[in-house]
This record gives sequence, structure tokens and C-alpha cells, in this order.
Amino acid sequence: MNDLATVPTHVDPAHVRDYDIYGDAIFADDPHLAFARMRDTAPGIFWTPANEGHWVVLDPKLMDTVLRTPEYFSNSQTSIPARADAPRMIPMSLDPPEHLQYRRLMMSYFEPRSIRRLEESARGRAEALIAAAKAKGGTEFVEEIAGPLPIKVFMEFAGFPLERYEEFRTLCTDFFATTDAATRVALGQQIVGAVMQLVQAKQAEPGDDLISHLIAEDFQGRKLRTDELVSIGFLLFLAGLDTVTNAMSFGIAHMARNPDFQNELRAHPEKIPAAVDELLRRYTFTHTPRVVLKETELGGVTMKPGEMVWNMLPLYGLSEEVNADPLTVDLDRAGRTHGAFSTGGHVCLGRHLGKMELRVLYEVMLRDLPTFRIDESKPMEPIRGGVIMSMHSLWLTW
Amino acid sequence: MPTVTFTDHLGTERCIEAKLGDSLMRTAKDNGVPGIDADCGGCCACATCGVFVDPDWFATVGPPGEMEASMLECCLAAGPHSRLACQIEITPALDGLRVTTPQSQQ
Repeated sequence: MNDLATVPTHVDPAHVRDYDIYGDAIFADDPHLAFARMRDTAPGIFWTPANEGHWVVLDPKLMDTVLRTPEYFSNSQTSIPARADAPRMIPMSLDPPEHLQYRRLMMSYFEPRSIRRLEESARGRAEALIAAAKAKGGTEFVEEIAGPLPIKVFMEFAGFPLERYEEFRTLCTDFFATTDAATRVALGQQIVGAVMQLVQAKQAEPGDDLISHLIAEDFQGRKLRTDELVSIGFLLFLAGLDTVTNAMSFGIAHMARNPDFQNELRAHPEKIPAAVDELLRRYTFTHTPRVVLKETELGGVTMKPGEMVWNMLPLYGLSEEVNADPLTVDLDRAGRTHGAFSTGGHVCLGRHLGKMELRVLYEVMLRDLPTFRIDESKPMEPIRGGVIMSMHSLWLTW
Repeated sequence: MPTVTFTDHLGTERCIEAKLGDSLMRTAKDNGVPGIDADCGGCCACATCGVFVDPDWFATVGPPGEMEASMLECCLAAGPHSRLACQIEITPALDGLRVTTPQSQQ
């Protein structure tokens, strides 16, 4: 359900296109291909009247400006349509200088040397999940592997109770799936409630997990308050429970459609780290909304305070000026650049963790399974739009 | 234009003409110097553009600010003369600057 707002008078009609970030028709088939076509025909930035009206940025150079200029483009509002009651997430909802202080606190736990100790657990889980699927001769990959693998690694790392996996995954999936802003706020409040319970449990009985460590941390000469811990936990919940699942689904779907690509990686497992980045580039599924703080000009348009901006990160790595022949998956691509983790001060904190999990999955899957392909006898569901594009299911056979 | 020399962890030197007002990070990225990831694009938010400043140059470049020093603690290889390249602005005084890029940012 979209409210078609009138186009503001300061927007030139040449910079207007109708695009529904949640339910556009282009999600029905191959959205990445459709994004690339959109880039060929639409301006680098346009206004869409859908979802109460907002800007859509397609040009990577313009995305750089939006994402690296927090004085003009703020994280204080990231819901489209804007919602005054959207829960605040630390540090994602913050701008400098406050943002960097919290980010620095969190960084210690997400740097490569810190996440290295999670690799063994990730590998063990991947091996067990893939062995179980192998015995059955096929799998619904999202439900049986891409969901549980990163989510359980992350729940363990953060201190979320593993017995609540199903409940947490459903809450998170529903949160990103709903196109109704009021429903999203209600689900957000449910998640905040679950995180509050977790924080209180860790305050009473600390463990060797991220939430417990954050409770014990000194922050600017004091301890973090419960509301700050809940706000951080809410962000971890949303950022940690759905993103890697989708990265795995898009990556494995490509492999399932391209047996030669699987063979190349089986023959050259040393190319798997390149495959991780190349598939993230080709199938970037994330978007970063911002709100305009001060009137500014960008790419030939005037943007007014309060207007929302949608950065189409999938187009970052799919633009010719960034990567030549961008639709081709090329493991030997020179100077590969993509926007899967965004850029600017809010560049994904969990990018090293996510890439480690993708590498481990690809290594184990290619080693332990024969050539796998899409199971054509099962239904293919359309891709869900929104901030995190998502595959509902991916049936594989071998 | 000031000239800056980047030495990688294997000892290969790259001599670059830098634009006044650019950051040292931007100078490296625009000239394809390896060993500078700069994931955040210059916001002092990711600690992936760390460089070792030549000790003879450190006084001219100056020490890191408070947030930068804190970020440098996250760099895999930080030493007494480490700086984040995104926080160093190219000025005429830096003509001849020499820095080394760490192995961890490859």
C-alpha cells in the first residue's frame, strides 16, 4: 500500500520516476538485471512519489557524497516513509561526533583478529548442516543452511539464547518483510522487548559474549545505561540475523545456476575469498536510507530538509564506471569495488564477520557436496524488496 | 605539487604526485597504491587506511587526534608512528613525505 504523494514543486519532472522500493514489479523476476537497466535509462538521482515520496540515488559518486557527508545526510531517520516513533539504534541512528564514540567501542569486537575465534564454530556448524542436507539428496537452502548458520554463530557471539532461534528469526524476517510502517514499529517493539530481557539476564549473570562485555565496558568514563545497551542490542539483532543469510542465498543461487563456476572454485579453492567479494558485488542486496538535514544540491536536484534518500547500493558495484562489464561474474576482476557494506562512517561493522562466514560456507559446501543445481520441480518465489532484499527459499538438488 | 612516497610491506616504492588539500588516503586510492583499504572512505571510522609514517617525518605530519588514536588501536599493525591516511591533509610542508603501508591491508 503506497500513498502517492504529489511531487514537490522544487523537483524537476525530468527527475521523477515511479519506483516502489518495497513492492516494485522489478522484484518479480531478476531485480539486479532490472537495476542495471534502470541505471541505463534513469537519471543518477530521481524522486519517486511512492511511499510518501523520496529520493532514489543510483549514481555511485552521488552515493559517496550522501554516505560520506553526515552534515547534510543524517542517520537520525532511516525509515521510509519517515516514522517519528521508529526505535533508535546505537550507533546506526547517530551522527558524528557521538556516533564515532559508540562505533569505536563496538569495533574492538568486530575487527578481523576478534572474529577469528568464531571461525571454528562457523566451520563446525557449516559441516553439520551440509552433512544433514547431503544425506537427504537436496535442501531448501535458506531454511536449512543459510538461515541457521550465520544466525546461530551470531546469536552465540552476541549472547542471544540459541533455544529462541526460531522465534528470533521469524521476528527479524517479519520486520524486514512488512510493507506496513505501523506493523514494522510494532514488530520493532517486540524485538526491543526480547533484547531488554536478554540485557537484564546478562546483567544478572554475565557470560563470555558481546552483550556481557559491553555491560562491563567503560564508555567515556562510565558504564553504558540499560537503554543504550538495548538500543545496541536492537541494531545487532536486525543487522546480524538477516544480512549474511541473504548474502549466502544470493551467492549460492549463482553457483547453482552456474556449474562451471562451481568447478572453477573446486579446482581453485584459493579463489574462494575473491568469490565472496565478487558475488557480494554482483548481487548486493542492501540499501541505506538517509534524511536530508540541510538544503543542498546533488546531481542537478535541490534537496530539502526532512526529505528521505534511498541509496541503491546494488548499483554501486553494477555501474560501468566502477567495474567494467559489471554483470559478468569475474574472479580475476582487477580493482573490484562494491557497496554491499555501504561506505562512510556507517560502513558495516560486521563486514569481516560476514565475509568469514561466506568464505567458510563456500569452502565447506564446494568440498562436501557434488555439483548442485536449482531444483526446478520446486517453486521459485519472488525476491522481497526493501532495505535488505531477500530470497524466501532456494531449493537445491544434486 | 608535493611528492609522496608509499613503500609497501615488500619494500616496493611508489612515488606519487599529490594534490594539495587531498588526504593522503585519497592520494593513495586515486593512484592505485595497494595496502590502503579505506572501507569508510575517509570518515575516521574503520581503521583500514593505517600507515607507518617515516620517523624523520613524524614531527612534520604531527600526532593523531584523540579519536584517530583510539581508532588506531583497532589497526592490526599499529606502531608509535602510525597514522590513519584519511586524517592527513596534503600540504606544501609534506613534499617528500615517506610512509609505509602494512601487510594487513592488502
